Amino acid sequence: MKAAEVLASRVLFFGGVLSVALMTLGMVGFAVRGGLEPEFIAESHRVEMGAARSPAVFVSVTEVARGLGRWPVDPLAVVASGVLLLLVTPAISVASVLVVFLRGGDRRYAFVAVVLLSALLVSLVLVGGR
Amino acid sequence: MHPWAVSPLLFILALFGTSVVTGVLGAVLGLGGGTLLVPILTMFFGINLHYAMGASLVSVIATSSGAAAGLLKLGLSNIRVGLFFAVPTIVGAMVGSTLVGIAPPWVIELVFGLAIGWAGLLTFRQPSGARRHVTETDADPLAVSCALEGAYYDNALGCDVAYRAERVKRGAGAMFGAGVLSGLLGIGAGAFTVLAMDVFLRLPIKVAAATSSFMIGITAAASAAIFFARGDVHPLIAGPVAIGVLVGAIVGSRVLPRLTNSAIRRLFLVVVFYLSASMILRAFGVRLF
Repeated sequence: MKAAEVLASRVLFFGGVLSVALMTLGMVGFAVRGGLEPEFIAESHRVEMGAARSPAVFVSVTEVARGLGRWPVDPLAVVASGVLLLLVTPAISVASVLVVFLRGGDRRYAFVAVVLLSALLVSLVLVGGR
Repeated sequence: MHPWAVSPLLFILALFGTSVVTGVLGAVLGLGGGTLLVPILTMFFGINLHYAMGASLVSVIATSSGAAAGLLKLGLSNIRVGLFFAVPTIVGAMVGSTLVGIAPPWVIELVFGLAIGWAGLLTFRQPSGARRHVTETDADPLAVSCALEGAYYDNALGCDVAYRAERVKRGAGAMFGAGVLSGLLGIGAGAFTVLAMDVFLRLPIKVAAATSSFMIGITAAASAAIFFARGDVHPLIAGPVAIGVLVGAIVGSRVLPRLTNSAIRRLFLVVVFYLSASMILRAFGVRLF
C-alpha cells in the first residue's frame, strides 16, 4: 500500500474514533449531571434561527475552549469538542498527505492538496475566527 | 405537542435509535445516512431544518472517516482521484452551505424532496460493473497528465482491473453540482458523486463508491464548519445522530453482503419516495402528519 493511503487512513480512523469518544463522554456527562431539561426539546423545534441562540449551541473554538476550561467542565463543550475534532480530521488527513506528496516530489498533487487545504481552512477559520 | 416531548432523555434515545436504523438503511441503499436523516428529523421529530442539516453533516464526516479509513487500506479508494475531484466538490459545498443562510426553508425542502427522489431513482440503476481495460486511444489528456488512474484486485472477477478517468472536465462540473447539493441540503451527496464518477469518469463502480466515501468527508467538513459557525450544529442533536449513524453504517456494511435481494431494495425505496413526496408537499405547506 502507498504511504499516502496508509497515513490518510490512520488519521481518519483515529480522528473519527477520538471524536466519537468525546461526543459520547460529553453526552453521558450531560445526562448524569441532570442537564436534560424539557426546554431542550422546545428549543430543537424552534422555527426561526438567529438572534436568540440556544445556550447549548457553540459557534467558535473560543467558546468551546471556555466551556472546557471551566470547572466543573461543561459536558456540552466536550460534545462540541468532539464535533470540532471531527471537522478538522479531514483537514489533518489532507495535510498529512501533502507532506507525503512533498517528500515524494509529486508537486502537482502537493499543489492540489494545498488548494484543498486552503478551502478547508477558509471554512474552519469561520469557526476559529470568532 | 410532539410525542417525544414527554422526556428529553427519551427524545435523545429515540434520536440515537432512529439514527442507527437510518445508518443501516443508508448503507444498504447506498444513499448514505444524511439523505434519509434530514427528512426524518424534521418530519418525525419536529427538529428545526437547520439543526437537522447540521447534525446530518457531522454524521457524514463520522461515517466517511470510518469507511474511508478501511477502504483506503484495501486499495479500492484512489487518493489522487479523490483529492483532484474534491476541489470542485468542496467549492460547490461552500457555495451551497452559504446559500442555506439566504434561501427560505421551503426552497430547501423542495430541492431536498426532488434530490432525494432523484437519488432514489439512481439506486435502481444497474452498476456498470468492471469497466473495460485502459486503452491509449480514448485517453483524456488531463487524466493522463494528472495520473487519474490506478488498478485494484477484483475478488469477484479474480483478476487485476486497471482503470483511468475519462471526460475529466465534465466530471469536475458534475462534482461541483454534487457539492452544491451537499452544502445546500446538509447531506453527503454520495449518490451523486458516485453517479458522476460512474457516468462521466467511467471509473469501476467499486472504485467510485470507495473514493466517494473518502471525498464526501472532506466536502462535508467544509460545509459543517460553516453550519457550526452559524450556530446550526446543536451538540445534543448532532452528538447522538453522529454516533447512531456511524454505528448503523458499520452494522449496515456488515449485513450488506447478505442483502442482495432486489425486492428488499425496492421495499426500502418506498421509504425514500415517501420521504421525497413528503418534503415536496411540505415545501408547499402540506403536512402529511
